[in-house]
Amino acid sequence: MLAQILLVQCDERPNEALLEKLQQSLQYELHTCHLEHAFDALERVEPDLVLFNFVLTRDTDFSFLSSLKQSTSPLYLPFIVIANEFDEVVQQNALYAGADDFLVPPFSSALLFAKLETHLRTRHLSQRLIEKKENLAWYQERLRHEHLIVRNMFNNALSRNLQDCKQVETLLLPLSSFNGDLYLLAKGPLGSIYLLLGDFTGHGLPAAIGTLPTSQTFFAMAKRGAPIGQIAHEINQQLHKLLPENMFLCATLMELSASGNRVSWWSGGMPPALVIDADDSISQELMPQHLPLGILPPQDFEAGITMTRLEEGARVMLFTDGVIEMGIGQGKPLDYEDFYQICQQSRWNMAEIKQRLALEVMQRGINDDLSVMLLHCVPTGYAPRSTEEKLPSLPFEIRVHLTPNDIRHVDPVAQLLRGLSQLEGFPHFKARLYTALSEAYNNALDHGLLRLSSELKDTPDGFEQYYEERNRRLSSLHSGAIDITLSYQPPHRYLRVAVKDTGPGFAAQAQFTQRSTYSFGRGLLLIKELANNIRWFDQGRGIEFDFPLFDDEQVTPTNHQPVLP
Amino acid sequence: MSLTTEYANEGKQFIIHVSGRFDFSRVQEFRKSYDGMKESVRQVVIDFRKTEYIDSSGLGMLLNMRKSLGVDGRSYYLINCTASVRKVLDISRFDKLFVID
Repeated sequence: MLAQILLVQCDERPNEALLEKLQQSLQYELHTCHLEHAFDALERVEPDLVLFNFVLTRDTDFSFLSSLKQSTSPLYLPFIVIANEFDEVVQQNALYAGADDFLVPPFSSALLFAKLETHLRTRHLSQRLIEKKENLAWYQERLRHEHLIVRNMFNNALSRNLQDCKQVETLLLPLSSFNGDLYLLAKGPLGSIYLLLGDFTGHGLPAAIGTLPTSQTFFAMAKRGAPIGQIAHEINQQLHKLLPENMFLCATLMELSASGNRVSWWSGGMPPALVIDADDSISQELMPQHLPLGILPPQDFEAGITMTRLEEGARVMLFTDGVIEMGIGQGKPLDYEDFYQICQQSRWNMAEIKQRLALEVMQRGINDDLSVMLLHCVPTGYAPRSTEEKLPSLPFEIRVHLTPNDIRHVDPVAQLLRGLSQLEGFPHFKARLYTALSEAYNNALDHGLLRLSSELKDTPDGFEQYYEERNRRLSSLHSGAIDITLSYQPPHRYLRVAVKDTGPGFAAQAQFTQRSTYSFGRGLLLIKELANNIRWFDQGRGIEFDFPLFDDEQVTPTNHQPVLP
Repeated sequence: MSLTTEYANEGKQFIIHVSGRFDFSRVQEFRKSYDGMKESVRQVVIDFRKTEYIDSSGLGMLLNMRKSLGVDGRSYYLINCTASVRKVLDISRFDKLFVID
């Protein structure tokens, strides 16, 4: 594109010589205007360069030049004044007023064009600078927007953290808006508390990026109640696959049992966790025993955990190395001893520790993300509670007649349970119902059809011999049958169970009071405790009981003698 | 794999994870799981977190294990019991022989 040049004239008589020179050049497109129309022309022409061809004499001429120059955009627009004669003062004033150059005739076309080119080059530079600045602003805006999205994702990922957990107090102090330290908390299905305190290599966004896969794995596995070693193994595998070689996660994973008196933990590359007894003394340092997560390939990973039993009133403190690296860049590190001393002087009160650490941070400066976490080892209170389950409103009866062939090839108890589990409310009871039904069925099979004697089971070897003998007899069983009947009659909240065999029957009632064989006694005792209205029929060939479909109170095992050898 | 084992606490602890059913169908598998257990083990831990069902033969297997591994300098823990497993253990007063939680 040709450079646009605007020639502003004040003389009634245009400078013919100048016009001629400019028109000779094919590199410029020339526009002219009278001084009076200069502002309009600037807007209309959008020139790349302005030539002033008039005699500057009055003060108003300079101020006009000045205001015209100021009206232009930040993009450099060169103003060149062409005077009639050389006058140093006029030239000075013109430059101060906003002119960028000054030409005094006579001058050759060559000089004029050289001047024009020089200024156009500067304009071009200015243009590129402005473009770069705009680009930079655009990238900045985009980065801000992307950070916003990522932060949102982080917040969502971490929003699965267990809230309002009274057992856990934390102090989390990230160095930037993305935390390279990771703190995860979840409860397990049996009421235990899972926690992870970790520290990714580095800090800021690159360090925090591993948060997403780690937290997803952690929460999913905690929800399933997976053991700590398995969770560590899985996270290691994920991070090993995802992270670059030089990045990894130092972490302690810990599970506090629902009872609150035991922690299972896995630790790699972290400062030792501290066990603090009720008297505020440090009773143990839980030293990390492994490499950090994400370094070893899955086949070399060591998932070995440690179980530590805790006294009543114990606490466990975990922290990242940001705590003891504080001030290290300033030559004023806070070391382990200092930190322990702060904690001890604060009597392990988190609020106080927070205040003291905040002071230390102010004095020493902070170099890394910093996290401290205190776990109070008391019963978690998350153990599942019993509820009144809604039951089906239709009555039903299931009758099963099992021949030796059926008995050999199917597991009727498991199959019945699978079927019953489809019914509303039944899944809640299936484990206990399994136990009761399994006892009745195995009684009928072992003693009714197979005529096994429980006495065999009394010795360690006999125990296995019993089951080997059982298998032997079962494979050659040709006659006999077992009948199972399950009936449910709402609104009664129980399932009536009857199991009958075609064996000789036995006077089993005596078993309730006179248990000569412990193992067998245990089986009947389980039925007795799990069900109601137990009765034998058909000379001991059949047993019937009502299995309750409601939660009774916790078993208080006081009404019977222990049946242990 | 429904029955897995691991050593913890530097070989002083032996953990058996039982998943699914814990009844006579597991007799041999269970017995094998602690056959050849290191002498150094002081605590034997059965982790029931994944156990769905237990019956009296399961109880028998626990007693059997205790008898065969011995109680001299060894203690036995039954941990992470679901409510149903816990109930069965309570009924038979296993708390007298095992540490249950």
